[in-house]
This record gives sequence, C-alpha cells and structure tokens, in this order.
Amino acid sequence: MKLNAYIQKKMHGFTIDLSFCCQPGELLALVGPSGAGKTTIIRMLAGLEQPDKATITNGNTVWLDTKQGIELSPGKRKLGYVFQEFSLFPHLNVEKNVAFGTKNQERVESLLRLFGIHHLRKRAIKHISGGERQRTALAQALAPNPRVLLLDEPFSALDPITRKKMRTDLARHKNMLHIPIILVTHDLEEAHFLADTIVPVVEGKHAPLWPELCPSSVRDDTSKSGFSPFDMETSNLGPFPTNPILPTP
Amino acid sequence: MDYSALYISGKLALISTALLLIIAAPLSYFLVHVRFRGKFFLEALVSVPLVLPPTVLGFFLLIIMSPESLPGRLWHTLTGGSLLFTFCGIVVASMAHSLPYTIQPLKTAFEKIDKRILESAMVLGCSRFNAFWRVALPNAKNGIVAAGVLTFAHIMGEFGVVLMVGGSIPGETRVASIAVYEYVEALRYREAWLLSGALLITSYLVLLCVMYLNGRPAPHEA
Repeated sequence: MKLNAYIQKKMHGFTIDLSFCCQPGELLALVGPSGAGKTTIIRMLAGLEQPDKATITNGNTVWLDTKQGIELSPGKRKLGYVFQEFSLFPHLNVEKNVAFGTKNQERVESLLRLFGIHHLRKRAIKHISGGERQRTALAQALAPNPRVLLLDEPFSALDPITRKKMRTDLARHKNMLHIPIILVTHDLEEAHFLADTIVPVVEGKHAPLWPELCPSSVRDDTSKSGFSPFDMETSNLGPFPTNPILPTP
Repeated sequence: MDYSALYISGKLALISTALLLIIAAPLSYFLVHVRFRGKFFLEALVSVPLVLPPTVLGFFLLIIMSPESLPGRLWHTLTGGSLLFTFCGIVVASMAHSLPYTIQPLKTAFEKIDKRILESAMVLGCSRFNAFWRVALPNAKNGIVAAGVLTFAHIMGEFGVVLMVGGSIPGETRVASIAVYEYVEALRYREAWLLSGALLITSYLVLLCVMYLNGRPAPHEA
C-alpha cells in the first residue's frame, strides 16, 4: 500500500516542510547533508517524534493526522525500522532478536536463512560482526511482515567493503519486498545504487539542486567513493530519478 | 545476646527490599524515560528521605499511621489493627526511608540503556510497559541487583525511623541497631560487640557484592 506523507516541524534554525509519496515496491531515498533533518523525518514517520503538522497515510490507514487528532502509536503502524546504528537487543541471541516482533516461527526461520544468519541463530549479538548485525537488524525489521520499511543510514556503522556488500544484498532483497521502502542516507552513490526515487533534502525541505548548491561538501563525500554528482547526467549510474509527485526542479 | 533482633533486621530488610524493588523499578524507569510537566517535583519528593533526619521522617510517619489519621483508620478498617508498633509498620517506615537509595542506582541503570533499543521494541509492537518488561528490565539486571543489595544493607542498619514507628518490642520491632543501642546504654559491651561485629561483616559483604556487580559490564556494554 502506498505511503503518503506531508510533514512540518520547527527545528533549531530551520523548519522541516516536506511531502512525498512512496509506492509499494519502490525505494525512496531521502538524501542530504548531515543535519538536514532526514533522521527526524523518518522518526516522525515511525511515530517516534511529533511533528507540528502532518498527514501520514499508508493505503487507507491514517497513521497521523494532526488536523483531525488521529495518531497511531509506533507499534500499530506495522512498520519495520532499521536504526542508524543497529539497535538490536543485547540480552537476546540472533534468533530471539529476529523473533522479537512476531510469533510466526516459520517466518523467523525463513528470514534467518534468507539473510544467511541461520548458523548464527544461537549467538549473542556481541559475538557477531557488523555485517551480521546489519542482516539481523533487517531480518528483525521484516519479521512482523511490515507494511512499510524505514532504513535510517543502515550501513553507516560498517566498513567500506562490508558496506558495499550489504548494499548489493539490500538491492537484491528489495525486489522481493512489495512494500514502500524509505531510505535515509547522506551518500549519493548509495542512493543512486539503491533508490528508485531520490528526494534531496536540505534544511528539511526538498532541494532538487542540492549537489550543485553544496559542491564542497559533496566533493568531500564523493572523493572517497569515487563518484562525482557533477557527472550525474552522464555517469553510468543513470540520470537523477524524478518522482512524478514531487515538483520538478 | 538477642539473636531475634538480627532475625527481625534480616526479615525486615528482605521483605522491604523486595517490595521496594517492585515499586521503585517502574517508578525509576518512568522518571528516566517519560517526559512530563513537573517531573522534577516528583523527583524531589522521592529524594526527600535522603536529606530529612530519620527521626523527623519517623515523626511524620507516626502521625500518618496513628488511628486518628485517614491512612491509619483505613488500615484499621482493612485489618482490624494498627500499623504503629507492629512489624508491618516498620516495613512501611523502612520502605519510605530507603526509597531514594533504591531509586538512585535503578535510575542510573535505566539511563545507561540506549534509548533506541526501547524505541525499536515499540516499533516492533511493544507497549511502553512491554518495552520496560521485555527490554529495559533485562538490560538493567546489574543495576537492579546493586539497588537490591544497597537497599538491603541500608535497611539492616535502620534505626531512627524504626524506633519512632515501631518502638523496641522484642521479637516484633526490636531490630539489631536498636538492640546495640540498648546494650550500650545498659553497659553490656560484650553483646554490643557481637551484634555490631555481625552487622559490620554483613555490611562489608554487601559492599563487596555491589563493587563486583558494578565492575561487571552490562549486556549492552559487553
């Protein structure tokens, strides 16, 4: 079911004012520099932070409508959320972490196999690697059969090699999910690799010209990845995807 | 020597500690993780026994528990007896006095828990209470044990509040610290030595436990 969001919130120094729409099976990336309000936006989608004004719907279900005073708690929104640094439960093993939000043991088993962590199921979280934690976090988020998947910089805690591998894994798994997926990242290359739609965000607002507006910060970022956003139109990663719902730059 | 005083102290400490942990764990979690208006009023209120002289707290409790007061009358209607000069009375009094000693280590333990794992639990369908029960409590295990041990030790040495509310009835409200005081007053130093020695050893063992537990990493730190 489609995710529709209009969010407004006053922050320190700027106001988040953004609307977007994500179709089932689509991965929409909110991309922007640090401090642009991306994480706050995704937290508001999850119900972990309160916007000043918002309308968020998932299909026919209203998650939040500040005008009508409707608000669903995070647990009732039926979403999967992978936090910036995987917030797995340290007192539980891999299997119990994945099973935390569901009673469907069959689904847990199949997710453990799908993400290649079945052999680690009895291991404590502290005894698995960063990549394995990331896969556990994804399996945990998907176990309750969510209607929307939110990914908040899911690869930021990984080393570059694992990061690349995980990115490829996510791209593969993405095609099996027929739900809206929202990814928050500051990495344009990552967004281009994974996203069907990119929404550049600067100071809480849609900024279609962000790469051109902030050349120095983008250059710093891309010097590591070897990708230049200035070659975007000609790069083999393809042109900047546009969302028909968003105003065209 | 009056061994029953040691027994009463131990029984008082065990019962009061268990009841205090049941009350203080959710209260501490609430104080750490829930934002609400006037929170610091509640925080100051639960910390009052830290700064109030035990005899003053005991005096207030004496008034509150008296058969003329509303709580006293209510207790009388429910049980047919009085709280004053009974074992139940000293349990209530020692709980009131030790509440901040239980709350402080619990608050520290809950503060150490990464807020994101609680949020993650809520996103996965937990209510606030379930997140407390399934995630916060297991991850605050060391803090809970430390709070329990400290509270137990504090109640083992309880004197002023117990004396005000319970008096010194042998086998009922006469705890070890009151017995030591009475031995000294009666110049019975041998018994005072023995009982004080027992209390000293208990306190030392308790502190060893706390230090050992504080040195151990919590699950989320390991």
